[in-house]
Amino acid sequence: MPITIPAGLTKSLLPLADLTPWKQRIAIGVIAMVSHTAIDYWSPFIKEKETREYAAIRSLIKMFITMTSGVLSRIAGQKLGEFLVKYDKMPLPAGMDKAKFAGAVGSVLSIYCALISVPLIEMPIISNAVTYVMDKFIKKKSANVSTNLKKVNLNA
Amino acid sequence: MLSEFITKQAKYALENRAKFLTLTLAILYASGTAGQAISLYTNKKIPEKEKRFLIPQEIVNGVLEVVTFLAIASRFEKWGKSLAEKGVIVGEGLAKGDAGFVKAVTVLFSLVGTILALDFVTPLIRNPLTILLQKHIFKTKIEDKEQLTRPMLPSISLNTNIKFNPNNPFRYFENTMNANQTVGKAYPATSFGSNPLRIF
Repeated sequence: MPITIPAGLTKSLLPLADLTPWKQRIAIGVIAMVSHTAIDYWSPFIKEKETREYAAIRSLIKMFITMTSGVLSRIAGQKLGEFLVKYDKMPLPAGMDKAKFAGAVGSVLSIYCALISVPLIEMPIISNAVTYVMDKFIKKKSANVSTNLKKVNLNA
Repeated sequence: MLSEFITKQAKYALENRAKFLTLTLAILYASGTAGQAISLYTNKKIPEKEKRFLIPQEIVNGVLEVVTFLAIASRFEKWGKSLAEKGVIVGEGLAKGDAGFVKAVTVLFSLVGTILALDFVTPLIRNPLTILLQKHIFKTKIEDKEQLTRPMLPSISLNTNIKFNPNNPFRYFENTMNANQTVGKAYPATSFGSNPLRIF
């Protein structure tokens, strides 16, 4: 027996057919920022709190940076592909639809852009951002807590 | 030359969409994982203790992302497409197997499958697997490194000190142990804790 989706829901479902890859990447990335961070922070398998904090902060930063670079590389690749096909910079294979071919060239160029973004954006930014956040916020916070404890002990 | 190379790849992407997706996914995750592992390894500000967890976690994460994507997300996409095409899922007011509706359902199932695979299954499995990898593969390396970094302190040889005479109570062990054989090395500990002398 077929499952009939109500007219209202069908109407809101139909625009999904034209959902661009970069919008899909945002949806996956935003959920990943929350889920990866939460799962790492409350992981029962990592015993030490500092390691859990490192893993959680790293997941949050990594997901944000990879999502941003992923979206930018997809947009850049897609635009470049459309431009190259539109102005006949790429030889169009015989019998192929120009719009479809532009999309495929865009997909290929998006991958090249994503590959370039790994050493140029992801590698230097993620690692340094994690150490910066850990040094400035997490370790500072724990140092303040230990200083306060010392003060309490001295007063006692 | 370059434009012909890209044209060939674009043509392949159009003709073999699934293969192209799998191939590019594997290339992207492999390069991303390698890049992250290298940047963690070369970053001197991250403590060694954290690196011992984060590097294997990154490797496990990269492998799991490819596996879960192929096992869950790809199947969800095929499943959604098949259900809409066969008319198991029908939009009200639309014909059975309507092209736009089929595409929308396929994208929805693909998105749900990808989110499930990459955002929930991968992070849930990766930490226990990382701990296993640490225990079985990195254990010996960590122990070796600890021994290499241990300060060079004078060692004391511990000998069996067995004397071979008929009155020796250890004479029955003569076949298994030789007199004055070194059984281990003792190193004075650098700090005076509960275990001041470690024997290796």
